[in-house]
Amino acid sequence: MKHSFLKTILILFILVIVAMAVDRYFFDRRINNFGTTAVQRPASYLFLRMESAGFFFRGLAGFKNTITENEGLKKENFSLLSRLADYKDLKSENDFLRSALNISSRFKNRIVYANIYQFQLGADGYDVLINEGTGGGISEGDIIITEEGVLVGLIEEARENFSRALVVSDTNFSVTAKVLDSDTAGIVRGALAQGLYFDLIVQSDTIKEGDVVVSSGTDLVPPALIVGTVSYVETNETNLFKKVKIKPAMGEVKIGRVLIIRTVAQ
Amino acid sequence: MVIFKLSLIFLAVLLIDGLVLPAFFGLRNSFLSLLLLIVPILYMGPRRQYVACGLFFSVILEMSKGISLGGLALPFLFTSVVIYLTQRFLDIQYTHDARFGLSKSVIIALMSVAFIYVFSFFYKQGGVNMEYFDPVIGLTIVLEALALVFVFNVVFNKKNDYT
Repeated sequence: MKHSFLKTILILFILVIVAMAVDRYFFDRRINNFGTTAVQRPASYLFLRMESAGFFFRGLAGFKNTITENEGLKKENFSLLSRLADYKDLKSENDFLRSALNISSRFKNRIVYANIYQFQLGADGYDVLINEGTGGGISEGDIIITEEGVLVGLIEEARENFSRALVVSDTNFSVTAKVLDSDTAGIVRGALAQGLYFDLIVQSDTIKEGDVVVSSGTDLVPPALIVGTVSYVETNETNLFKKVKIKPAMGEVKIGRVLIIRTVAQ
Repeated sequence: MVIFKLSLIFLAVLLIDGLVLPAFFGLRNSFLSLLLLIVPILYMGPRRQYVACGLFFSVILEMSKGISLGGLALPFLFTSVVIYLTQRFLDIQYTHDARFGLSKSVIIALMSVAFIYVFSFFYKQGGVNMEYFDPVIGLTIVLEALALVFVFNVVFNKKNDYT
């Protein structure tokens, strides 16, 4: 009985290895693609609907605070409108100068709309699937954001009909970032359940809880994408750097529908 | 009958883990689907039919997660061997009488944390992701494993299914 168990395991090992060899040499590692592709449409639809329903019900749970929250939002809205007016003024001035000096547009990459239809923690980081692949013009390294400008991650592996995403909370993800309206800059890296860590923040840098962190644009990720909010700052004069944790903005918004910024210009 | 019930639980977990928890509840750190590969072997003992069943589930999981063939199946088989050897050499009996007590359920839940790490070790081909040794993740695995054991206690009838 004891030996028959190990024999069975050995037979199963051989079966799996043969199947892997067949997949690799005859199907170009695409045997499993068909299953993912088959569930893509209904899963995308269900993910979007469930996410909307979830946000609705979680909103109901915080209904008591709605009046005070509404007052705060009205104030913030006026402040943002004022900023928007400044921004539009600067943008038109910038466009005028660019055309006068014959400089090409800063942001000319094509954007692809897609849906996330699978999001779960796997054996090594998150398994996140997107319903667009190389067939839709997606390639590895493309940047995934939400409609609000929140950084979700990047394309880790693009297949014909779907892609695997590397989200910001994943341990393999890192991006150069800075605190909004400040010179404090460092590298944000994913830490799974802990959210994000903001590394290389020296003790003399100014940073506090509640600060908004955005991408700095000094790597492949475009600038000014919202990464998250500083949730914890530990200052210890014996260390060179501060210990800073960030709550990912991705957790606060709907991510069922995303935009993919192509890194290869069209 | 056990395999049929296990398959139904697997389908439900696949739906809950991949869609309901992340989309509806916003919970993105769930291990339910991986636990469903390991907990049945801990709960019912490392037997041939459960390992074969787990192997089938791992291939379905690979399909749903877009992982290449063998990506989960091989780590699952390695983990099964480790569970078998642990049971044999440490003389730990997970089966039958171990199923219905709360303390035994807690032991199974705690052991499943260790075996999830073993699974992750084989998945990374010998590497270790240190962020997995996080109290939040550990607690999540324990609670989800307990929930699974509770479901198994309710669904599986000892007299009908195992005698």
